[in-house]
Amino acid sequence: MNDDRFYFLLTEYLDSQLDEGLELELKAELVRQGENVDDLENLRRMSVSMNRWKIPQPSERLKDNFYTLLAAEQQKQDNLVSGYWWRVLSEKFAFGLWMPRLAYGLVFLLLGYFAGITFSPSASQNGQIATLSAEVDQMREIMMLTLLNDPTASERLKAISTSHYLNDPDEKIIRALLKTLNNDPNENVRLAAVDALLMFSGIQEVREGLIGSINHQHSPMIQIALTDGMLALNEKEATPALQRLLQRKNLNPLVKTRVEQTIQKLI
Amino acid sequence: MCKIHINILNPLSDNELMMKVKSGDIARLGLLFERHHKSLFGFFYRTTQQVELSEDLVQDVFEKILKKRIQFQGFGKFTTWMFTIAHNEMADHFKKNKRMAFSSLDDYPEDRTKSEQSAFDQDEKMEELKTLELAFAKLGQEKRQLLALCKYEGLSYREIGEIMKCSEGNARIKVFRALQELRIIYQNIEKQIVI
Repeated sequence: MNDDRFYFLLTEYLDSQLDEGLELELKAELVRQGENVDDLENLRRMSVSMNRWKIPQPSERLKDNFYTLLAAEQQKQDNLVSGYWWRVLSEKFAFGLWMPRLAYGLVFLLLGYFAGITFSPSASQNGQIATLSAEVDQMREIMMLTLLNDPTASERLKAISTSHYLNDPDEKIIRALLKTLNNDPNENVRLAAVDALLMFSGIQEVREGLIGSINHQHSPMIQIALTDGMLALNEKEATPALQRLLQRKNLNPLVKTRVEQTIQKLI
Repeated sequence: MCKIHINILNPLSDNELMMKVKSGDIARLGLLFERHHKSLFGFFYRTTQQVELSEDLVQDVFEKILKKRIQFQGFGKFTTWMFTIAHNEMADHFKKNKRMAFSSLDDYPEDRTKSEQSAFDQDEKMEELKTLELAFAKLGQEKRQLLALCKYEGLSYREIGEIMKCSEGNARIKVFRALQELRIIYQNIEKQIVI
């Protein structure tokens, strides 16, 4: 038996992965080499008992440090991106370049318009599509509300990603998303809830809920996501809540800077 | 019949998430962190047996992942790439701090025995397990890493080979020899305790 085959059988035996036939083949080889089969069995028993070694859990310090690192990197990248687009716009906005592009754009727009008229479905088809679309929305809502109560974070994330496909979420969905934002123990789930709620920012209850959540949050990532959201919505009503956030003693310095900048822009 | 597109319900794979991080959506690294930080912590803890140091090393790995995100090609598994970085971090750490091992039962970290005592109090094989952990700590750092990857993180021998820069066959030989050495150390400690 060559070395590769021998060590393959040995390691598979130690992992308890060998069937009876291969186990016999290995033991025969061990006997042929004058090795003690019992030694191997003892080694296997030790290998199995290693699985009982329990280790402590990492502390919250690890998460805090990681999310601070991520927030800093995000800010660095945001600064780079805004600088990049400014350069691109100033370089590319030359008359000679954008005129032909505008002409091409108009031609394709007109082609699209005529194709739309020619191939658009009839009124009855439109009715069927609307009914089906409403049914699908309803199914998604039920699925989402069920998954949001799942104990695993990945299932709750799936639930929130489903909300991206809802056209007109009802009150139950909004309340469930706000409850997730304020109470879910997992940071990624809460972050996904911020994204989802921002899509429905046209609803007054959502805007109020997002503002109300600012002072519930202790994670720098969520605080930044909410602050950015308020700026994107130009939500002046959020200013008092952001000012209250600034009063916190242990506020992350990056969050502090971002909140201060946002307040200045909102006022 | 209306067919619902169910892909929206499938969470993104590690590789898909990492490709998004690579393309600039770095917030997605948060999800990769949530998925893998405990496993990485376990790898470092089993190799160093120090909580704080293991947490620092996990942080270093994610910092490297951010820095090296452009190098991620997405051909192999994300976890193989992540553990390769972890292996290199560990090697750098040991180079700086020389070999770490506990020379006798007295050197066994006190906070560990105290903090884990209660968890094992009901276990009649606690002493045997403690001896095994002590023997593990006396192995060389590369062998500890090999066994941590193989026995605790559940990586295949092919993946271990990729991380350790050797063939799958070689990885099997190394793991087997590390286990043999662990068994010898274990028996020696048992003899010391009896004496």
